[in-house]
Amino acid sequence: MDTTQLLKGVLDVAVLAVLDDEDGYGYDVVRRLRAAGLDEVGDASVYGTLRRLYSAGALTSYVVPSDEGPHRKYYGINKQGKATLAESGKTWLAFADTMGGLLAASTGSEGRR
Amino acid sequence: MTTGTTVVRSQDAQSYLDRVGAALADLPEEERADLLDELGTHVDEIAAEGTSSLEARLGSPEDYAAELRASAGLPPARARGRAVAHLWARGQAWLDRPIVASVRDFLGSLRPAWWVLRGWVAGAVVAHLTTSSPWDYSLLPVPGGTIGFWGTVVAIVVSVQIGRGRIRPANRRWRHTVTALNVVLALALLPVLASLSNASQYSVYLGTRRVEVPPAEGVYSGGTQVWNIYPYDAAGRMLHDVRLYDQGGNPLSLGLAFDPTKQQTLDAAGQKVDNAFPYRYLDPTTGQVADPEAAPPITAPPLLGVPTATPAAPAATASPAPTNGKR
Repeated sequence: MDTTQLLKGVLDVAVLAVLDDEDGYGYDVVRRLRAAGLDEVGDASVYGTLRRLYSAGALTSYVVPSDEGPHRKYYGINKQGKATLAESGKTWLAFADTMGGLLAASTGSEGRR
Repeated sequence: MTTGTTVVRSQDAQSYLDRVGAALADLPEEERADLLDELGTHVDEIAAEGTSSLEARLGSPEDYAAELRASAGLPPARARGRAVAHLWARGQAWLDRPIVASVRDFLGSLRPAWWVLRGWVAGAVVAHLTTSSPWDYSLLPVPGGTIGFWGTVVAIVVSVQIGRGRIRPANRRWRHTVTALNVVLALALLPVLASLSNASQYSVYLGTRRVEVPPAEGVYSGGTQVWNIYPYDAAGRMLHDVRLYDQGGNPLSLGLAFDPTKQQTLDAAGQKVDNAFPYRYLDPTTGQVADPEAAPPITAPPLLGVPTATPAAPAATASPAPTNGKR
């Protein structure tokens, strides 16, 4: 299955999780998601997600001037974002657990028995 | 394209940004500018990595815009975007018609003239908003005063440099700013020209240029109009009914409008006399001269050492004294 389809549902949680570690600007978040293994994450999706989360009040934002490059817009997680992350994370883990169980019952069963 | 230490954006990057911008054209301007601003730094950063082309790395600008919309929770471009694109295409087709294209080409060659004109208008607007100095016609009509003149010169230079693309801040909205300024200055052209034509009616040209002050009726002394004349003789006595003539022998007229309260004087031939001074005025209730001795509150001291001979006079009345007349 194409991971981009799966990513759509969890990109919010993934972005929040990355920002929970440390504040970051758009391209930085893209890099960290890829480094974490989400190779197929699209740049535009990450930027769009950051913007939507910011509009929804889950993120703070500030501009950092830089000497040799353009000014960067940094995002940070706030209280509401942390609450969303905790809740969505729980939902996701429960979901992953359920899926794991389901898959273990069908494909994985052959290996065990 | 930019100055200073900021990143120089390549043609490729700029055209990528422009295409994404076009695909987001239906969004509110502020939101669109915000998205593009962030994308600008993103694109610069990817371009700085220099490993592959932007399209290879990010996909087509249209796909990028669509993905951005979808993930940001913005409405897809469909309905409005398509209508806008359709109109855009029709507009482009119209602009590309040969006759329109040749007109555009002709107008394009006049652009430098517009650069100068808009600089001049900008200088005039600023000068007239900040000072009340009049127009100065000594060279070209420019706002008067040192500030007005040099301000206009600087405005023209800046305007031409902007037109030549020598002044172009990194700001993405710069192009919109210039467009807006062009519209404002084109509109300001009318009031500025109106003020110019107004001003020229009363202005004094310097050097060999015409003096456009209308010739004034009447007699003026020290810049103010003379309404009456009170002659006094050498002994300091006020004279009455003294007839005055100018250098050409014409009766001296004060050029006053007809005044029914002014006493009408006639000569022996029955002609109206308007140069007998001082004028007398009638009391409107009685129809008689109100005050025959009316005079300004002055005392004229007698003159010393005046010649006893008859003074020279123009040939209006009689014979002037032949010898003294030459002096």
